[in-house]
Amino acid sequence: MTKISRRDFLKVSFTAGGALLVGTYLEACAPADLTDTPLPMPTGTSTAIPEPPFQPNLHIRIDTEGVVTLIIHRSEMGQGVRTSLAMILAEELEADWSTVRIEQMDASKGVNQITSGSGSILINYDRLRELASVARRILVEAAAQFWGVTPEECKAENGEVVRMASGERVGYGQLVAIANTLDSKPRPELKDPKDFKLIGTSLQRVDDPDIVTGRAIYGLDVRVPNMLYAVVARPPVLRGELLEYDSTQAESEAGVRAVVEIPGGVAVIAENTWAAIQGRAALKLTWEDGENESLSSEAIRQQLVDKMDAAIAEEKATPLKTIEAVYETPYLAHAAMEPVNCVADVCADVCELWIPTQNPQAVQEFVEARLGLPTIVHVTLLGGGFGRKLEVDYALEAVEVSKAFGGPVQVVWTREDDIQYDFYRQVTYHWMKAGWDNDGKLGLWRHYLAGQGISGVAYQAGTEVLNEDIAVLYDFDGRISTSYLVNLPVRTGPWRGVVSATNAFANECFVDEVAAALGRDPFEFRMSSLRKNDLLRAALELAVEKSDWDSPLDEGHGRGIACHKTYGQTSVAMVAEVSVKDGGVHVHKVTCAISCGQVIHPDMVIQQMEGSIAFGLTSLLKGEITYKDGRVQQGNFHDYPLLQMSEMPEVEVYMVEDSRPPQGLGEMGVPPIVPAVVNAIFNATGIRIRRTPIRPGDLLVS
Amino acid sequence: MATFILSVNGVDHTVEANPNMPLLWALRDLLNLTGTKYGCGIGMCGSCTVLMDGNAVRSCILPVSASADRAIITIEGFSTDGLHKVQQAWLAESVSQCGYCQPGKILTAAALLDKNPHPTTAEIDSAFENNLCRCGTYLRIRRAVQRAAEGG
Repeated sequence: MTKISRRDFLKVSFTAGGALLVGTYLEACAPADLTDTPLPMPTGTSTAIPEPPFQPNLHIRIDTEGVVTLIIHRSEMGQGVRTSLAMILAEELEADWSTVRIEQMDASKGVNQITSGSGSILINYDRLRELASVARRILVEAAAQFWGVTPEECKAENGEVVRMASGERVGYGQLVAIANTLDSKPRPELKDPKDFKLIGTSLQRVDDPDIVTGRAIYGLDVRVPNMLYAVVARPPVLRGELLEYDSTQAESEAGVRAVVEIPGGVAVIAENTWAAIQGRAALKLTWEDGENESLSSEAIRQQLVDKMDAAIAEEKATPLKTIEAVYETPYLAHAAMEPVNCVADVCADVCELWIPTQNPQAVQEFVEARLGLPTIVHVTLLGGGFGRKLEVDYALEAVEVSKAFGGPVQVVWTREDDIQYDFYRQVTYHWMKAGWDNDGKLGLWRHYLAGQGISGVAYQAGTEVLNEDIAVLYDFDGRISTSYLVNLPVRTGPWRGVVSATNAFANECFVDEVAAALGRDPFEFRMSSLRKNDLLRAALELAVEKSDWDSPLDEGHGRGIACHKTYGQTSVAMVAEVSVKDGGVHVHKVTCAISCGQVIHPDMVIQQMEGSIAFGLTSLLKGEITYKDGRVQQGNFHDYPLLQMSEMPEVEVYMVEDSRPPQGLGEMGVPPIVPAVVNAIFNATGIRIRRTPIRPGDLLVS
Repeated sequence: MATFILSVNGVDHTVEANPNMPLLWALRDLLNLTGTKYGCGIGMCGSCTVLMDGNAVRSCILPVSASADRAIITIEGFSTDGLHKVQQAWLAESVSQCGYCQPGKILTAAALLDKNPHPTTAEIDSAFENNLCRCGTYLRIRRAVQRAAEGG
């Protein structure tokens, strides 16, 4: 039998999938029959040591063939970061785009790898440009040395350095050897944005060819030698505990290899995922339900109401004319199409993980603390993240399974696992009050929020997260916006838009209520209340112009407007047109205007707005997570439905000229869509939706 | 356990499996064809769609026993070079965001166009009922199907 080294096995198993992953080889874990014997040198090849690539920093590698590799430290989950960061790099490096490749960085030290807060471009734009600019200048110096001229006589262009006087050219690959000898540390010289050639264009995404051919490797697609598949039985009641279990029948299922107890559950390990799922179903489990055995959504809501009642009891009387309203949002699951999962291989002296994560360094930190072992974390593509894959629970669980079993396992979460053991978007309860004088001038604005913070493993946050973008956008007098933390046992986490989205729902709908009470046009009222230099003005004006705001509507149709500035960065205004018929709403069209600074890739801006609109509409029109007897009552897409294609509105996106550096995009369309549609429903019907999602009967005229 | 011959992408594979094992897991775990994705396991999301005798089927609810001796095409065998007009339309319209569900969408589109070369918007929406995409690429999927219908 031909021996194959583990190193080569890993290489083969990945490149057969066409992915850009580089598997790290762990000799310590190699089984005896897969020893790392060196392969014979192919005949006819030189034994000379090849020139090492030019690697001026953590992110850039240029080989002697001229291939430019971006070693990327952010996770690709659909937002396009592997393409947009590569474009930024290639722009300042003057690389030939066709030679640019991407390699995903393992969890590392010395660079922040967290993909969250819509911040990957905002945070890395200047830094990556500077690194690329320095690399470009070293290559120019290398070329100058090659020709015996000064660097000033040369310029970099499209993967080559040009000697300006003669027009001679030398490729970056040919300059690697000289560049490696230079001890030069030039300062970055950034391009003038008007000279950008790649930034501002809609290049094909780097992963698209692999996606349409099925070669893209997500977490669930990782296969390592001797890997088995596992699913875990977890307590049905929140924070319940295992009392005892009988695995006799599970272990007799064909394909089941082992049943092991781990902290928080029982894992069934099998030769394939189906056998593991069958084995889990055959387990006889006895749980101690614990203190949450009677937890219900009604009781949770009552705690929010009680907290709010105590807060508003302190409110003083006012001579102004006032209106009040309460807005409520439920727990929501992330429901990425790829459930969370993790391949773990815990050995005696090292642990290796392959995981779709937004947060590789936290995974590494938590796993190392749990195991006391050095841990290598490889990041795969993510089949959606939306904040769920910031958490580390599924990594910790996978290492427990691998450790207890004693070999590499892929812990698969079924859809039910993914929905029922998620870290949900928080429940929120917003009490709103506004008051105005006889001239209709606002003198009082209250937004009190009672809600749960973030209660996760890697993430905990209290009122600071509830206060995110709670302040109303408008320059009203007498504004007080504050939040009250309610401690609840439910696991919560960051969810695309986080509390900024629920705060925008309350603020932008209640502003609409005030405008209606004052008999003012919702657009005109907003414009008259914004500060003079607010970037939202241009976005609102553009959305109104493009949506033909004042044009007549068909019978039963309504139009609504809303805007938001998520994390204070990107201004987004949306106009929604809806119709309501037989108690159901149809969203026909959303016109979106956005002011997001320098646009790296215009089509990705549009994609993020389309995606945010679908995500937000799901939260308004579809399901919620509820508890009864301590158990989550939803489990799959039949009872936690997502928006369908037939429900997707037409979307038009317009970009406002904005000379700022690039601002965030990934979450920024989620907050305004819900209030835009809710306000449009009011315009169509006179009915105010103040609690999401819309329930059957909410839109029936009584 | 029983033995089945699965014809996948024109190649016959002999697999030993529980007859009730969904085709999805046979493809992914027994044949290592991971382009077919798991999304829900109850036929509600379409991520696992493959072609069987030219029809789009949900492999997560189709037992391997019902898949034997049928011509199964997965994304890996649909067109290895990515040059099929549906794949080209997907690239031209920049459909994909995370891309996880797109192999199922591409095969759904191919089966639709095979039977109905010029579908209306309503017919496209109907073919994509319970074909979920959490990234919200629906408008582009629709445009890509229309583009492919017009010849790519």
